[in-house]
Amino acid sequence: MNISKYIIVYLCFFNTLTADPNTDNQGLNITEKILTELDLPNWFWGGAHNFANIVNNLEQPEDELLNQYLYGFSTIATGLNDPLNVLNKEEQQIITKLISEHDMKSAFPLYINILNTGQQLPLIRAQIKPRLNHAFKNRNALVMFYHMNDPRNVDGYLCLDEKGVIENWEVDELYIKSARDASIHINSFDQLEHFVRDLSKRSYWLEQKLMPPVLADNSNNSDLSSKTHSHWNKWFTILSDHIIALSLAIFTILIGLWYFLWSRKWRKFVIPDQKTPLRFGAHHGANISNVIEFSDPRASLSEQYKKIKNNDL
Amino acid sequence: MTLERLSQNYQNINSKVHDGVHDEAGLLSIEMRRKMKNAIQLCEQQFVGVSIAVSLVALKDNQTPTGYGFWLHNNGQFFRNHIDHSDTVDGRGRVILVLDAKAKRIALSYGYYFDGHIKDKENFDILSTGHASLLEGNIVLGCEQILKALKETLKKAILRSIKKQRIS
Repeated sequence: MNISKYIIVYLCFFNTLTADPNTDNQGLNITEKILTELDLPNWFWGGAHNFANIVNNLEQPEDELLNQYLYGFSTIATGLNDPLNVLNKEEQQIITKLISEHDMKSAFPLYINILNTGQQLPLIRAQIKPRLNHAFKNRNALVMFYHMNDPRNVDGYLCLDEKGVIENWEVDELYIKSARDASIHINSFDQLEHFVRDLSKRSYWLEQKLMPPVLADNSNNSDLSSKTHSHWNKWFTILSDHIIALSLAIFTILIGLWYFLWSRKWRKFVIPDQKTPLRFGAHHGANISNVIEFSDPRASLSEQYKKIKNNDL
Repeated sequence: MTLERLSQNYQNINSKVHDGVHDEAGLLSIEMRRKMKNAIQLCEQQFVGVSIAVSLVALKDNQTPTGYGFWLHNNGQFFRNHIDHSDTVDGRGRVILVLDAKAKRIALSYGYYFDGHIKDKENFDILSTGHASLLEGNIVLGCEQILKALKETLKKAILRSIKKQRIS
């Protein structure tokens, strides 16, 4: 009987140990429930409660610390939040520089929370999301909870404008692949540095996917005129994108046109051959035009033409 | 009117035409002569077997530009760079613009090749293009305008004749 009790106790503790304290408190509750039903010595109870306390204290940050993680960016100028000072000042400067470089190029500013090795947040993703929505209201942000020395355990989110935190396999891929590449490094800071660099590079594709380029329209005119402007802007963009090809095409057409006109200018005309009888004993020609006078300015051309026509008749 | 009878009437006139310019009236300066030559070359260059000449004369009362043109066409000696081309160049492809400086009259004389190709109205239009300049006494400009019009009309006439031949 005693042996069977200890087996049950072992199973209960096994359940407790395997349970995730952040997401699943049921393990501890069930263990406690079973243990109360068992007839166990006092020393055992003391040990069990001590174990539970140790687990809670080690892995779960205090409320104040949790607030610092979730809402700390409102008071910090940079995108790096390290309330426990896990990184030294030099390391913080390097990461801050990387973040600022990323923010200059990207539409998704980077916010990194640094967690110590083995440290866990007491909230699950579903609980963190509304808090992040509140913290990053109508703003784009790449927010992550990075565990030092354990990049694969990174917990990353993407806040997108009014949509808030979005769930997307591409976002997961962004974090997973960056973590995978960073995890090959041995030093914990190297891992963090490479993780940030990789994330910054990969976020470009995510940006292209989620944030189609928007054309700037500064006009304050009516809707109709702004539509017309955007229409012209579209055409202008297309033209500017293909300016080289267009220039070449126009140049080729102009060269072709010039060659066509040039060849026409030098085209030779040959009078069609025809048999003509000789007239008035002349060998070369006997074809005379009418005469025009230019002695008197008052004698207009039309009058002269009429006169010639009458003479012909 | 035959060529023999005309020859008696115009025999006193010099019939040597140098480089297409025949200035018997003595109207042209060296510069004007150069301009006239250029205009003639421009007019000729696009045609095969066509030569152009401009004759500026002061005719007597019993002489006419048409008669003189006819006579010069068949009796003239045409030089190019001081070489007589009268026998080598076919005179049937020649066009002579005759300007009577005394009576202020102008006419065109065509060789046999142009028979039936150019209409009377077209002839009149060619000559009338230089009328205003000639009225102002600007002989070179008037002749240049006439030669330019002649060139365009000849082109049209040739294309028209080719088309006509193809159809028939």
